Amino acid sequence: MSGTTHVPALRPPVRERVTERVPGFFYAAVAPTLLAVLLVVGVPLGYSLFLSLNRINPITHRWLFVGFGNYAALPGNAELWAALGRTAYFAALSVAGTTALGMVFALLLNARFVGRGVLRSVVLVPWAMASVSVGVLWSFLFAGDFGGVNGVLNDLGFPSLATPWLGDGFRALNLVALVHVWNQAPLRALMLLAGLQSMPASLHKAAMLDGAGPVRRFVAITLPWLKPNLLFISIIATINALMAFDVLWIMTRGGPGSATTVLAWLGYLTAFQFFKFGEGAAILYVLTLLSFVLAILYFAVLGPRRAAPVRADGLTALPGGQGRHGMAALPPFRPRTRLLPRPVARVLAQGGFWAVALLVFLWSALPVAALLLMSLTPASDLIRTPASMVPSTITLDNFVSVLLPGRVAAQASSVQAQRVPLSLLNSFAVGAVVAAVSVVLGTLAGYAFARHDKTPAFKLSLWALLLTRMTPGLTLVLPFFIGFRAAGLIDTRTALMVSYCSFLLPLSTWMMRSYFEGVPRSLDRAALIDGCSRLKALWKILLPVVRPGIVATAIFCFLASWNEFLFALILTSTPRAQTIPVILAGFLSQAQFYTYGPLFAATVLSVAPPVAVAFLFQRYLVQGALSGSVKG
Amino acid sequence: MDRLLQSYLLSRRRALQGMAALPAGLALARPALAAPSTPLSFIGWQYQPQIAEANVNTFKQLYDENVSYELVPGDYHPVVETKLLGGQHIDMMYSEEDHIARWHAASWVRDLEGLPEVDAIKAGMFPVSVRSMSLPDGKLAGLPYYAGHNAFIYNEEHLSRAGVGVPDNWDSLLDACRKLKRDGVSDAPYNSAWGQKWPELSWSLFSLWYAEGAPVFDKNSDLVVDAAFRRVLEGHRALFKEQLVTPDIMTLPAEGVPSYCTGRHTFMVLHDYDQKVANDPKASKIAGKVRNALMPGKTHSTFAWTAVYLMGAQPTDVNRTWNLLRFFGGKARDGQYHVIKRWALEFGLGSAYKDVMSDPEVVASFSQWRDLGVSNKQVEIATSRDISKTTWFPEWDLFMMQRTQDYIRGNGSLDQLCDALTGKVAELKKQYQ
Repeated sequence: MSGTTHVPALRPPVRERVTERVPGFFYAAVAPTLLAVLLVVGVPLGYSLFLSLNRINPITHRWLFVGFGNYAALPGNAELWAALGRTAYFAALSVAGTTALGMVFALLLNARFVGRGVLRSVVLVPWAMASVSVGVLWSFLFAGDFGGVNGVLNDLGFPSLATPWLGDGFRALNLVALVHVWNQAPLRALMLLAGLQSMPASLHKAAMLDGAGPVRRFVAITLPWLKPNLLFISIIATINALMAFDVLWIMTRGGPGSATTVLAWLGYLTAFQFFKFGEGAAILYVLTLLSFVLAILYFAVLGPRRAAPVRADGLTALPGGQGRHGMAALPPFRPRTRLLPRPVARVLAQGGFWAVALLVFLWSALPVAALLLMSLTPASDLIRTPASMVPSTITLDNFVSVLLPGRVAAQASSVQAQRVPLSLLNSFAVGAVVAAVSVVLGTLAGYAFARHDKTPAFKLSLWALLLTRMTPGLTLVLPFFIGFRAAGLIDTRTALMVSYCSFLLPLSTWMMRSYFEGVPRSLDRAALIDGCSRLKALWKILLPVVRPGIVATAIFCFLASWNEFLFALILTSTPRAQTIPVILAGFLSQAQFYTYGPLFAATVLSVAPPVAVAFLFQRYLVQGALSGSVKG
Repeated sequence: MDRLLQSYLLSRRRALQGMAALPAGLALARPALAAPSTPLSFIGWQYQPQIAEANVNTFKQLYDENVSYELVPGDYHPVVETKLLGGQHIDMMYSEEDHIARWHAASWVRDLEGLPEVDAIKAGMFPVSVRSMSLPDGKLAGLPYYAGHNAFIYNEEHLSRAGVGVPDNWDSLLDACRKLKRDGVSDAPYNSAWGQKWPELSWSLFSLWYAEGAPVFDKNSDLVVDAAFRRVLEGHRALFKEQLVTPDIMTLPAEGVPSYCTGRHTFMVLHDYDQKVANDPKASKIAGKVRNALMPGKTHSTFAWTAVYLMGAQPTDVNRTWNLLRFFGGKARDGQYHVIKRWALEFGLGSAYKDVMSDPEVVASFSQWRDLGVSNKQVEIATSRDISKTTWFPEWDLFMMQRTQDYIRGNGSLDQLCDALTGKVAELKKQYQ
């Protein structure tokens, strides 16, 4: 076989003409989403941009329009440059870490083995946890005196290795990045796994016949195949790393010193602690610019090529997602020389595989198991020195004080603990509504965008939707508060529902668009020819086909809504609307450490529903990710 | 479902409130009046919110009132400032002394002068607290939530094992720490709150600055970088460099109190009421061994503050809100200090009122967990921060904590730090002109 052989494209090059007339149905389908995002995000975004052109001092009531003065002042800000350096380091570490680990997870989970379903679910757990929960867990694990990591080291007989983990600034930055990687890698794994699942097995079989080993096949076939996934993953991973705030807020607050002060934290300090909304917004919009520039860079490096290669059979590989097969080239034929006898190599390979599986399991499950154990540990054990993870006894007291506060002494049950049950209900109600609305509107818009993605207006609005994902939420906090207050919606679940829907609609739209792209257009045409209206065709014919994507999108939206913290903190005031991340944050600022027990119990309770979702629907999640990235 | 759960929780809570509800029970004996339909709004930070909520309920029953209590978890002052800027109506709010003048300048809160019995209330308080709660023009801005100071505590068993006395100044403190470490009594003998939150490194530094005799700021609100000011900063750097503190002291949770309660450390500068926690067998491994002494330094002074209840600039109803303020920050109309005395007895929070601090019940309670003679003397020579009456101080304070943390960790020279802190004062003054 020739080493330069390109694999023929699997799908015919069906493309509509750019100038094709767009039926009114499609405008109606995208209108609710665009309108919602425009009104709920677009207007506050505009206001926030306007704020960044001013220097405002609410204390002295001074409001000075400075044009681009705040932006012009940024290059002379030494703190900004230092924060930019840390941000670059944090983001590089996070993107590389999440992508590399995600790749390992995906390759592992793509293989067939006993227990794959369970491992897939376990791998998803860190991602299903709210950032606040993640921060709570790891800040305790890394605590120097009585922390879990040192406890394990002591218990295993290595007390000399016990370390004040967050005491060193550079180490603290690395550890926070590591926690971010732990939290985010599962999402990357899902996206890559989806890509791997769409890869025809024949490619690898042919390469094996040509004598290519696993490494050569990975480099020559798997990586090129995953290029579109890597593009999407890199953009999302970069945005998430640049915007990281919650974990830093809980674990280090930018310290020690300024060792973990990244741009997002600096923007928060400037806007909210120093109360300079204009200057703070300008700093935060640097993150938007960075996200945008990096996205363009990723497109340049990993994006589809305009000039498609000419195949040996004279056909041209398709551009975009359908050109994926043109990127994968079989490696040149080379007889494989075996260093070890085949049976030995097989045993070693199997051993290595299970070793990696075990490591992946431990990486994902151990911290969560520690959380569970700590929630069952008596409160006094949690401040022992030398630290130990072995509880003196197992107790349910922490859960009792959270769920049945009346059964324990009043002093042992804080008001936060009493608020947990109601906050769980609030989180569930908000998550359910947000997921439903996002799916309905996202499905309609996604369908329209999938069918008319070359129409300039549609193309532009689709990318505008993505741009809203690149805007730091911190810039929108004040405009949102003002807007919802004017609407009389402060401290209501409605405010959270509206906010989250507007944030998540771009995501659900992109996901559903990608899924619809995988559905042949001939199906639409057949339905229309059979007398269906467009709406009926969508309802009766297409929705059943894209059902897994709908479920996956709903789960994504539910989890994102469940875990959101910043807007819930600002927009709600009382238990009637507060969600579980806000209550968890409340535990942190209580100076009574005997609430560590209820804190961990509450964290376990808050994690349970999204984890249950991850366990039950991991199959759909994979299919959804397939729709959201592979064909995107 | 939601409503059912709420009513269930409320009934549970009411059952729990027990003692707190007793006065309310008496009130229930009289004919009930309809509570106003518009609730008074009260916003507070996260310190024992279950007690704050119970107090709200007591007030509602005593006064036939309607109050909405909002608890702010997390960064209290920035969150409240955002809400106030966004136009949220608040009748009564917690505040630290460093935000009183700032919020007044922003027209978010009003002063209390001219309200019934204000002069009598002022006369009943310690002058240092009145000064702490007043605006730059001397008008009283709030009523006291509690009065606190930073105390110097030590583990007497550690000192006895190492054979060292209670340090009296910076040099003896450093020497004692070195010996304790050398003798293996404590690997990190000194501890304090060195994080970047407002009650942490700032309060620790100001306490030690005042103890050393540094004025920190002069009458023109300019930074005074004198020998005492520099000595304290150098001392902090030495503590860190010689590993006499735990290396992760700047990220310790809960203001370093749990860390001290493990028994690892010997000394700590902490909020005076936390000594109650350190001597509580349910919460501390070293209960009964923790004593207090005067702050080490040339003057032995410390930083004292009075946290306040402020009244919103445009309260729903001035009289109703004034009742709420007086119930929480003074005497209720039955002549009792319901809230203040409860904070004192249950949590060791000091009071700005002379008669509360001399109340036999309070004296007996405080004596169980601290040397009251020492703490009384400490309060007598304590200093409040006049500089906090400038509107820009909270910004300088956070900047100072960031830069000082860096300096303590070995970055930059003392001169560079002092220049940066002085420069920031000038910058902020100009900005707030």
